[in-house]
Amino acid sequence: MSGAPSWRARRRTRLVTGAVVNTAIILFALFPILWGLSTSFKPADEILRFPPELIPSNPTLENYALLFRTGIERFVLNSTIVSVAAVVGSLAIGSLAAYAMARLAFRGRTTLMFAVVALMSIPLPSLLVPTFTFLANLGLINSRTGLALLYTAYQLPIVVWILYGYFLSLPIELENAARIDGYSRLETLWKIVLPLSGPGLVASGLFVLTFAWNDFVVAVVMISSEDYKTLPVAIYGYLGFYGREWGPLTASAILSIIPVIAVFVVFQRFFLGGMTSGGVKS
Amino acid sequence: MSSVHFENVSKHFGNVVALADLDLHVESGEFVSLLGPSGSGKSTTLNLLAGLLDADEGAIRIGERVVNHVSPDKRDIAMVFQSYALYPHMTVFENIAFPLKARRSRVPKKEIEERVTAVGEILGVEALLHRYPKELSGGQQQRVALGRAMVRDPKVFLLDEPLSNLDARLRIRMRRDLKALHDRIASTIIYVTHDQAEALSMSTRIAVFDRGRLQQFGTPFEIYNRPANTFVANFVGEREIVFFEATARVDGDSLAIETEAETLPVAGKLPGAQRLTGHRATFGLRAESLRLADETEGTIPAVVSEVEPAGPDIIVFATTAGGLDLSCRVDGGTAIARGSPVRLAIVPDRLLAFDRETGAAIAVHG
Ligand SMILES: Nc1ncnc2c1ncn2[C@@H]1O[C@H](COP(=O)(O)OP(=O)(O)OP(=O)(O)O)[C@@H](O)[C@H]1O
Ligand SMILES: [Mg+2]
Repeated sequence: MSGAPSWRARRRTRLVTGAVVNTAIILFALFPILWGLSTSFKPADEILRFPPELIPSNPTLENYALLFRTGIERFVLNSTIVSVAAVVGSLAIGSLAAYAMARLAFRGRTTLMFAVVALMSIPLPSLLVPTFTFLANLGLINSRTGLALLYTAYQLPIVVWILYGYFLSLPIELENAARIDGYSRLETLWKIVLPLSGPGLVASGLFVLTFAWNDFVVAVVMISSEDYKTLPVAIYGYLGFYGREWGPLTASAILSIIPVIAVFVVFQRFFLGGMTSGGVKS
Repeated sequence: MSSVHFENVSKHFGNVVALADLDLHVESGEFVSLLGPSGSGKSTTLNLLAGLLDADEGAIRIGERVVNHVSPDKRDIAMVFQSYALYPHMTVFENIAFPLKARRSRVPKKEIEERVTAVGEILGVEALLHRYPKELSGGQQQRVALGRAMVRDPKVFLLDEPLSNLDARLRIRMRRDLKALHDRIASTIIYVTHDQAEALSMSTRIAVFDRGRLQQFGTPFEIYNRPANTFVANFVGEREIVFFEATARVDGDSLAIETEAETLPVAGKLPGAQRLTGHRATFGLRAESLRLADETEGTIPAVVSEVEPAGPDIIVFATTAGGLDLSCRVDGGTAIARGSPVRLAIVPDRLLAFDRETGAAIAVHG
């Protein structure tokens, strides 16, 4: 007779336990970011005070103000230009390549596919020296163009791979219908395939974006001029330049996270599928 | 509109022969159905004509133009797919307008609007033009797919089982609408179906396929009443045809059929009966090939084993003295009970005879 209440109680216990565990995991993962956020609002003399406080007692915007006085917008702009160019470039080239592999029968298609997969597994550091020489020969060292091209090249295999899989999942009848309706292959790609590939484009675009936006190693090697430095390289500068500048350092780190989070929030609805529903009867 | 010609066209997929040596000539303005069981090569034929597949051998012509190496967008054809293939990211209006917006067609904006609206009205989807495909019922989606083909003025219309997903009523209505459409625009239509009722009711001619081979190309009358071989005879017709092997005893232009157990007289004259002389033949009897008879002369005694109502008619199943199971379509008003004795007469014009070895028809009707 007490079966139902005890079942309900057990269910509640399970829900509560789940919530507690999840919260613990989230706090653990987010703690460094929260701590950085808190530090970025503290005046310099309170940052290393003991005992530490999570909510600053004298919050200040001084650290952010300092960043803008020293011209951080230039690095934000550099990072934005390079990242956007890399995203646009790799999606443009990647979608053409992926479409060809998904829909055209040509000699060497399988070999090419294997090559793409193999390329993805080459560790980035081993590419630094050869690509540096290569860029130098092209006269593109120490330029945003060179950096954007490198990011595009590094990320192209993963973009091709993701889009290839996505294109294969689209019903081929739609493309056939467009061809018969009088559209060339390229027009079909533009008018039918790409509009229906939102999730694939967003997923691969975010890959490129996070890589390009966060990259430190490639940028620090390829860029020496202050004018073309990207944000991660500039942030690194705060570590050493005036000693340990924790305030500006955390403030710049927070600034660099915000755009990525914003982009993810804006595009997350594309991860929910169903873009082609209603097109072909099953 | 144009004529369509397949000249010795073959298509293989690996070891599978999807289409073997097809020779088919469709005249301008015809409504031709491609009929056959699953996997017989109907869609392959259509896709070859649309340019979605390349022929291994042979020439395909639309009018005078050989199109083997012309890409689909330059063939000037319209196609309705088995799966509708509506563009999910476009409204009904945009879907129907899509072919008109292609660079090749160059239709002015105002005319696009007029033509789409007109097609929408003909198909009864004028109220749905702003909706997306996923907001439509199956029947509505199907009509939009038709509309996208109709809005153009192509050389040939290709339809791949466009009615297969509709309920029985709507299907019969759409059949009439399609036929009316054909009568109005008088264009060449090639229509794939495995529903013989569709093929028989709409087509000017029917091409029957089996395992990649064209079995017969003829008018609905010929296909139904003068099937070229046992496959066609068996494939068309609402019910299974009764085949039995027997020897023909020909006397002038009258005929009696001798099985091992009995002799079945054929009441009436058969002008081509002579052709059966010396043939070991397979005979085919449909439910329409027999009638209930009052007379005893020239008829077959049998006992009713089953009575099956079939809409306005009833089908009487009866077993002859020699143990042959026959069926006979009679008017629904006929009073008849299981177990009662009847007499059946073979309608000479509906009797089918085939060569026992090759299965090819023997022209007993003259
Ligand atoms: N892309 C393909 N790859 C391999 N085999 C294929 C391919 N397309 C068709 N076939 C084969 O070719 C033969 C003819 O196929 P087709 O699609 O023309 O049949 P169909 O008459 O349209 O049948 P259904 O009524 O089922 O649509 C079948 O045996 C099929 O398995
Ligand atoms: Mg088919």
